[in-house]
Amino acid sequence: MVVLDPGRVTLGGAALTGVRSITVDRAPERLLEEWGEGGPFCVFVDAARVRVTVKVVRLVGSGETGAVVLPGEEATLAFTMSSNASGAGGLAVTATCVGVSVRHDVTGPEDRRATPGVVQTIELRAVGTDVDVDPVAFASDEGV
Amino acid sequence: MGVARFNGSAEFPGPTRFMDGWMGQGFQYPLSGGSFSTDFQAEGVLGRGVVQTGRLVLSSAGLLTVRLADIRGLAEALTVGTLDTGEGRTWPGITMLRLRLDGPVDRGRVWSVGYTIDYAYLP
Repeated sequence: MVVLDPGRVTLGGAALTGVRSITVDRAPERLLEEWGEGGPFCVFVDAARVRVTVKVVRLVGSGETGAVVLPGEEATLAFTMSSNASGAGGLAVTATCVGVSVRHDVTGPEDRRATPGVVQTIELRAVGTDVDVDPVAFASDEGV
Repeated sequence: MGVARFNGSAEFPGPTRFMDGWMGQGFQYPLSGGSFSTDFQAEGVLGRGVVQTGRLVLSSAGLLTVRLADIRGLAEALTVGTLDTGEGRTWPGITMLRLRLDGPVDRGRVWSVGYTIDYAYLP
């Protein structure tokens, strides 16, 4: 899932400004693949463990840290998303996450006179207490 | 894909593979086995056996537990029967000896566990 320019992003209860995108990726940590006796093609695939990775990409200024989580620290990520500019049919997304990394990339034109931008990437893992429920929860947010 | 069976009724739902486990002579390498012989030592023709590997796949933990208990019971009782791959190969009159799980039960879309079963023709 990709959300560009999400609204009202909070992490650990504190507002995150300048968020350009949030991505949620699901990939198997343990993928079962089995082949049978009768032919060359795989006959069984299952994902016994799934890792949900959340990346928050934001623009920050010099010296700004904002609300970020340390590696191993748990915090709730919340944001809103809508499919149109009116906000109608919006969704509120929440996920309990654990911090993996916070990285910064300084980007800018070769022209040194221009102010470089700083892109902060916060990588998180979503976790849940119920092994049968996707840890990223969606709810209606009509009031966006 | 056919379902592998043993003894007519015991099914192994999920992918299975079969191989002839032992063929030829048993022997000891030089300077092994306590005899310290410098020659290879032929020990006689090996008994025939089959190794079945696969993954039991069932829709619930309860069904998987029951199926594992059934197979364990067959092995503990040294059950003799026909092993049928479901793909055209059979080994009649073979004895199930042992069930080994290859790891913990995996829970994804379904419940499954990898396993190895040893069969042999007992004298």
